[in-house]
Amino acid sequence: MGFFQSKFRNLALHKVSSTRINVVLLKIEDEQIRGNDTLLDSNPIQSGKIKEKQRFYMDIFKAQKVCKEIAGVKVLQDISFCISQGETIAIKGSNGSGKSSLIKLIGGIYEPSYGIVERVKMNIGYVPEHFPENIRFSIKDYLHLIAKINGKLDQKVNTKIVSYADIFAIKEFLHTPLRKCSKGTKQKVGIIQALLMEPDLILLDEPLTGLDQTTQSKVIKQLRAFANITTIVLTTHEQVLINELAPRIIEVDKGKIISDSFVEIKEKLNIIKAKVPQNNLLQELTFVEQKLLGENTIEFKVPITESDKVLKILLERGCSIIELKEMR
Amino acid sequence: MSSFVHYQIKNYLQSLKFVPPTFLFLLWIFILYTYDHAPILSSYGASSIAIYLTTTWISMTVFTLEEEQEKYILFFQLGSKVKYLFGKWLSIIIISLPLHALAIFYPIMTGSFKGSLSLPLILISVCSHVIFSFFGILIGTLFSATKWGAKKYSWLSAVLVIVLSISAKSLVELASIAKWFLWIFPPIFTVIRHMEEGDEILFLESLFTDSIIILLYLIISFALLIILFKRKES
Repeated sequence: MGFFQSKFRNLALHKVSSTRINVVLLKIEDEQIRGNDTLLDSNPIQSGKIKEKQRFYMDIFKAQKVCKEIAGVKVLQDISFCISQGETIAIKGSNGSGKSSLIKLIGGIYEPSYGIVERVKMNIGYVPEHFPENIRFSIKDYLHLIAKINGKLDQKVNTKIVSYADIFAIKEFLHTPLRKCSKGTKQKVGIIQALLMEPDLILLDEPLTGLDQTTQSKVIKQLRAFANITTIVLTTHEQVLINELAPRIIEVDKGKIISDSFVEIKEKLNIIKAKVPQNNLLQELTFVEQKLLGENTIEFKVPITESDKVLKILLERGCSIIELKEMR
Repeated sequence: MSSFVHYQIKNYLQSLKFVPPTFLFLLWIFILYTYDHAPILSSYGASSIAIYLTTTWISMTVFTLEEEQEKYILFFQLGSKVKYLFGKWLSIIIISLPLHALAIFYPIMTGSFKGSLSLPLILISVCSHVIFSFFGILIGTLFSATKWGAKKYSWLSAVLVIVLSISAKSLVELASIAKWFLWIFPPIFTVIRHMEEGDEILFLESLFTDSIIILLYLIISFALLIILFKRKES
């Protein structure tokens, strides 16, 4: 069973056969388009709400009764699941439960001791839990060399490196040797090297380890930008990452998958109350939910990511902002 | 692949791990040609053995250059573990090229040889150095990039294999039973025995057979190494 979610659409995936191709049923409900995203039932046929459109999404990974032994210790046992293109999956579990081993199995670093694994050949970005300590290159040299290994062109890469360095606030360290950088900076470089690849699948092993709150938000934002076009699998202890990013959660304990479920991703909303002089303005803001409170007072429910944009439009049109608060 | 090789060479040079093997090799060559009138082929034979030791050393340091996490990142960036292995081998060959050039041209430039050089002599010397460096890469890879490399005594084991392969001929003379297990080691003397006669190539009857044996030995060994490497990295 797989799942894919875009911004204003909930997509549910129904597996029709054990082959690699899944049928993705795309459900578009009017109330969801207005911004009220809810999770679609995992069996949309039974729900009877499917309106139209079918797309085919490929299984990019499939494991059947996989067991992985390292030095006589079973790190993964009886693992059976598949991942479809475009999914975002969080793997959670306690320390030593097998999260990192599962990610390595998905990426092909580990091959199964028993069982069958099928992988589609694709460009994979990997962010290790701990970025290597002793890399001798400067950040810029390292990223440049790594991007070239992946076949990226020079000029484009340089622009991208500078752009990511700017986003992750490491521009001033670009010429500093990596081994002299802080743990957080190294972790950022680890994330950037994976993003530079423009991967089809990105594997992140506890990506928020060692990052401050601001950077964590930036990482989540960057991953969100990739979420619709890239398959993302991450291991994490941070609930924030699960809440904001991953509709599918695989829980691992003692090397076994103990649950594989879908959760609702609630996008954080801001409520903006404003006095609007011209009614035609409302037509400009049809992409946000609006409610008429009084003659000229309107309440907007705006995704946090869109708040600045909406506020700018309102202020430019001469509106007065009465209230701005986060929706609980 | 060329970018990966560039990454490896740059990383290796910055690590300064090339200093001890290169220094030892230079020392060996300088001492070997301290005196003039050296016999051509036996001198080249001695420098081939120096190349054997040095490339083993270089291979082991090149394969242990990265931490596990860095290696995993490179696997993903390259898109294949085998590409990583081939990239490492190519890097080792490029790193050891200047040593080959030095071993071949230093005695020529300093006029250290007794006899006069001819094209066949140079060709057989180049072949000998190349074959020995492949043997070195073989041993170095075996004890650093396979499960044997993870063992505590990998360096000691590599040295033991080198010593046994060099002394194989003497060991067989001592106890003929040794020939039943020494075939597993690099066939050093299959090469060297054609270079034992000072300034003349010994075109022994077995030259063709020996060349086939060496070629087969290298092909089978490198194929086995790919399997062992993939097994380790799984």
